[in-house]
Amino acid sequence: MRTPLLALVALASGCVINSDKWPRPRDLTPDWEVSETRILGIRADPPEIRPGDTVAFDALFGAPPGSDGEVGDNGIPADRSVLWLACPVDDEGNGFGCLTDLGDVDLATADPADLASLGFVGFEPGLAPSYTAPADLLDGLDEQARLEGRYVLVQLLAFPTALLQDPDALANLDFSVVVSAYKRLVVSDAPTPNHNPDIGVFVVDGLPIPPGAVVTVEPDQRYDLSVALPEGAIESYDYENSDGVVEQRVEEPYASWYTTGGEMLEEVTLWPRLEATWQAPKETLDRGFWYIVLRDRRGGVSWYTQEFTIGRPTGR
Amino acid sequence: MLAALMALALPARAQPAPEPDPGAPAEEPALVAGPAIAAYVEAPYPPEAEAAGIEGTVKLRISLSAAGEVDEVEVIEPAGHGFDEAAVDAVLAMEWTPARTAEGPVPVVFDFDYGFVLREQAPTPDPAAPLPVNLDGELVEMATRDPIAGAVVTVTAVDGQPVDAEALPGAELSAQTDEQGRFALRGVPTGQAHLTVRHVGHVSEERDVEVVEGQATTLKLWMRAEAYRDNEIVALYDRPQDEVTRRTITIDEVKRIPGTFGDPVKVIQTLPGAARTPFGTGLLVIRGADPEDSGVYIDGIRIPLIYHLTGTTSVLSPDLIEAVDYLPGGYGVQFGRTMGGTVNVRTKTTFDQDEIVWGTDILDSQIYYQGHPDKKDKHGLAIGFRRSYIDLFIPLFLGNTDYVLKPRYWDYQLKWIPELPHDEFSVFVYGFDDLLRVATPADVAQGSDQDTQGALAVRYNSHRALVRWMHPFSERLSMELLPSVGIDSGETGLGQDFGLRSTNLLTQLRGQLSWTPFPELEVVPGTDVLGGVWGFDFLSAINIEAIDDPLAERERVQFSGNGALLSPDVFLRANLRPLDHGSERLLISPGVRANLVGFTTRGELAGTEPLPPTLDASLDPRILGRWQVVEDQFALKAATGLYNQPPQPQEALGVGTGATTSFERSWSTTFGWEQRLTPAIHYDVDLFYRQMDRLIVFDEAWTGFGSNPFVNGGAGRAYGLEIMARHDPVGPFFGWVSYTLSRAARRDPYVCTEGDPSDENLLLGTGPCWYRFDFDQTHIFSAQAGYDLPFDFGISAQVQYVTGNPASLYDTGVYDADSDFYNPFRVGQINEDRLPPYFQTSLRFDKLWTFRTWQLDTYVDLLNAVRGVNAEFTLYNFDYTEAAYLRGLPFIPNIGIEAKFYP
Repeated sequence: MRTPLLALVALASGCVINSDKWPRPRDLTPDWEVSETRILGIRADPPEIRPGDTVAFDALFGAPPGSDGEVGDNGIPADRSVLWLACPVDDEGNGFGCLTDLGDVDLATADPADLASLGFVGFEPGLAPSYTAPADLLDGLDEQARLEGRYVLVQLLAFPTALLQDPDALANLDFSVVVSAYKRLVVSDAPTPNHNPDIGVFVVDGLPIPPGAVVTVEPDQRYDLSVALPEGAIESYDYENSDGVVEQRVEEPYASWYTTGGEMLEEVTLWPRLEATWQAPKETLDRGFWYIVLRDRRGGVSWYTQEFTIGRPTGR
Repeated sequence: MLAALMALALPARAQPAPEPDPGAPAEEPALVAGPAIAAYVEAPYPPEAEAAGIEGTVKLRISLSAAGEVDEVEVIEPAGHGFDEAAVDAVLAMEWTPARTAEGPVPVVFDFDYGFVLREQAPTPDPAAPLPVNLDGELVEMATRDPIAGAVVTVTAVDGQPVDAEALPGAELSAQTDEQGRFALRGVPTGQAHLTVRHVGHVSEERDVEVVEGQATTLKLWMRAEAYRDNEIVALYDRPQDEVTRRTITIDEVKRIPGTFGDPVKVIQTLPGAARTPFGTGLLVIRGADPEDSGVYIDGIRIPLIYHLTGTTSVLSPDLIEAVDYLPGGYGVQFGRTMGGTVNVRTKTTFDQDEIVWGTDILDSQIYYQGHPDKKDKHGLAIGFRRSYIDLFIPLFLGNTDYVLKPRYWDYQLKWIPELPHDEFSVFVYGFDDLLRVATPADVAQGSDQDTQGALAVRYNSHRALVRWMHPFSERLSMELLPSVGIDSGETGLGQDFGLRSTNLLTQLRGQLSWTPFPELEVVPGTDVLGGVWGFDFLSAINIEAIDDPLAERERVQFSGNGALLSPDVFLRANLRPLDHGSERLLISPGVRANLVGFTTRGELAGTEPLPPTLDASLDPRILGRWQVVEDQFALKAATGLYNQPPQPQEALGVGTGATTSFERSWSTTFGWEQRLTPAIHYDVDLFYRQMDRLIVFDEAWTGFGSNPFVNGGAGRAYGLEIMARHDPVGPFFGWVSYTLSRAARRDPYVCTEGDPSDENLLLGTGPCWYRFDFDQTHIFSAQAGYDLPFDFGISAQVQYVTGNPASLYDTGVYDADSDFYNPFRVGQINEDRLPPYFQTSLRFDKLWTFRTWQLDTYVDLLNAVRGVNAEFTLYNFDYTEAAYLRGLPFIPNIGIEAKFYP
């Protein structure tokens, strides 16, 4: 009698068999958590160019302080090399930009001109990425299409520097160890080309933080993070719609928030609410970073990195 | 076979209920109740014998089935003079209650004496003239208040002293109730009379009543049925006689399966051939066909959805449902426009029992009435209404937040059935309305897009009115007409910037003639006309062609489309029954269906110039057969045929150009057999193969307005084995086990081109052209059983095991720095991976309380009491380097009650 009763109780209480070892959705690493080397943004300066113009690129890498991939003063992870490629998106709808097979290239000995012909526009550390749009890129397009422009797809691969010593590994890249990203560069004849937005001041709990300062916070506390944009950071521009009517539009940027420690209660906020709440971890922490990336939806990007340290509680 | 000898010596004009013979074979299970006459039929006295003053007794041997049907009557001692034939005819015309052992109803063979006694005797001085009736009344069943005929009411004692009728000349202290349940006793001594009431199938009753000198006492007596649940046995999933697959489950069983929420339609998902679909979707995936490829009908009229948005309950009150025809494949030509399976929910055609039902559980509450409000049984009426209240409860769990999650549904039914002398006629109106609203607080961003903020709302409603008229012109010719009108409308919106609103006004006319020139041939010509007008309005803050470009300037898109639809299908079917003068031993049924469809497209969708109407046609030849090799014991069945399905509305529309899609097509073949192992246990086996081609898929080369986004370019196949074994609800046990072993695959022209390994697609990869169908489930096993415990307690359980659904596997992604999202890299082929298998066990405990005028059914469902991981979908982290499973339903205790009143 006792065994059936126990079985009945077990059934009635609801139980999972087959050792539920599988992770649950709540166990997935959230987007705001920088727990390993990541690309958080790619910037073209300027973000929109005309044919024949030259543009410079850079990327925001995030990595936990003290990790092998900690970002150095040069802006790239210490253990990685970064390869930049840029190719126009072709008229056939190929949205993949450069279809370069790294197995065909010996990065150590290749001629710069050959590399350029394959779409290589930068290699870091060493060669800062830049790109000059072909002067004839918009040839053949009608006036409306030239105003709208064409995309140049900018790709970057951040792979372990150690792979440079192993051509085979480089030729057969294991994407589980490679961090890759891409961005669209607009090349057009637009009369009001876009600009990257400015981030004026980083603000913690209403206090503007001077550039370069390290913010000391207390464990297990919540802080309101925000950015204050300077005057004119939100651009107005003209857009000719499909009916031929020119509209004046205003940018509506959004902010993506990241941290190497603690918890971001919002990971994306929309203009005009460029603020987020951050929950400090319960333990002290020597170094940590907040990252905010601001996108204007037209290709313009800016970011801000703020270092923090978590000291002992002071009874705040 | 259980046999019992019954020795009954019954007078011709007043036969008491038979009693079990105490000398029944000892090795057989003991009878707890012998067979009884439920409706007595008096044999006409043979005129010649009556004229000659001859009396006689015919000794009969009766074989009575567990269902109470007389299988055979043998005259073992004839009486001649026409007595034998008259007695046999009378016995065959009677209604019987089967004998029962402790395990339930059983077949029996017993002897039965039918006596013919001349009623009119020569008047002789009667020393004991009948005394006047001084105790009478009626006997009814508790709860249902049905009169009980054939019960024996006896006065056994008065004032505590046993009484002997022999000692009271002219008294009748025992009587049998008549068809109206009435009884009358004569000469009952005054005082406290002790009554006993006995009847097979009911719990014996005893009662004391005061009998007063010079007064007649009238009583109302109540008896409680031994098993009320038997009253509800109605065939479900019973194949129509001219279809191939036969599966029968009763409503009572359905209501007691945990996890079905008492919904008969929901039980389809425990039957062979039906794949398990994720909780809440309510999809029907039958024999490897896409959900939209299976048709759902109510009384033969197609409806867009059979389940409410939670996927837990169908859109009809379960109390109105009479049967569900589940036709997984190989069905006849009367059903069309589908490649997959067909489910036809049939509502009741008579309302035998007046009742009011109120039921409630964790999801919804419903009220239902059926009966004859005119009290003359000239008009049958059913009214039902149900509303969910989970939208009222969810805020209590969300707490004081601005998050909104409001699923809500309601449905209604109204059916009127007038009683006509020859024709069958009914009017049925029903509908449902579903709404789901999800919203986040105003300061919480839903993604990074300003245009995707605001509440998500999905609403769908459907209403139908239909008339059924069946007119017999003669015994050989009859006609059935089913005209209907309906409206379907849907709205989907996200904030102020996205919305789709559609409205379809539909009319459908089904009609068929049944002409039987010979018993061996039935010809059924018919028509299935679907027509109507459709229209929609579409609003998007993003121009569709640039939806995957995060830097594209937004341009609000707003357009509408409308048009008309006409699909006048016709069919012809012949049912050949060549054996035994048209018996069901062998049925061969060839048929052909002509599918015709035409529609027009107007509005901004069509562009500046009106598009020409689209016309298309196809032909479906089909044949099916069924051969009862051993009658009611073993049958072979087979079917093969073509099933053409017109494009779905969104696939058929011309987008600034004429539509280019045509019928999708399936060739479906099935073969199997059925065997009854014991009177209660039987099984059936089906082997099936379905070949699909011309499947409509998205055109990767679509260039936008002016070209059609869909093409007939896909193919598919599905094959498998289905087994169902079943123990009928004979006795306290019922249950069934179903198992499906199957494989389903698809081929998409944009995955690869057969035989061309160089045809690479960077998004979809390369590899075998055939890939697993999204719901390809190799093993689908389910077992459910119930057991009746004493005192109307019951316990039932369900176990399900299903192979996990196929899934594509991703292990990393590339970051799109403009949209702030990752594009995943797939590992291997489409659907190469699988989710873990699905496993769950649910339990149910119920108790039926019976009162004089109503019953209360209380139950606790322990849903998913034991379960596996039960992954419904794979979720990935932001860069696809981590995966987790979105699990199905957790353990849910569902407490419900249903009260049934008998006005």
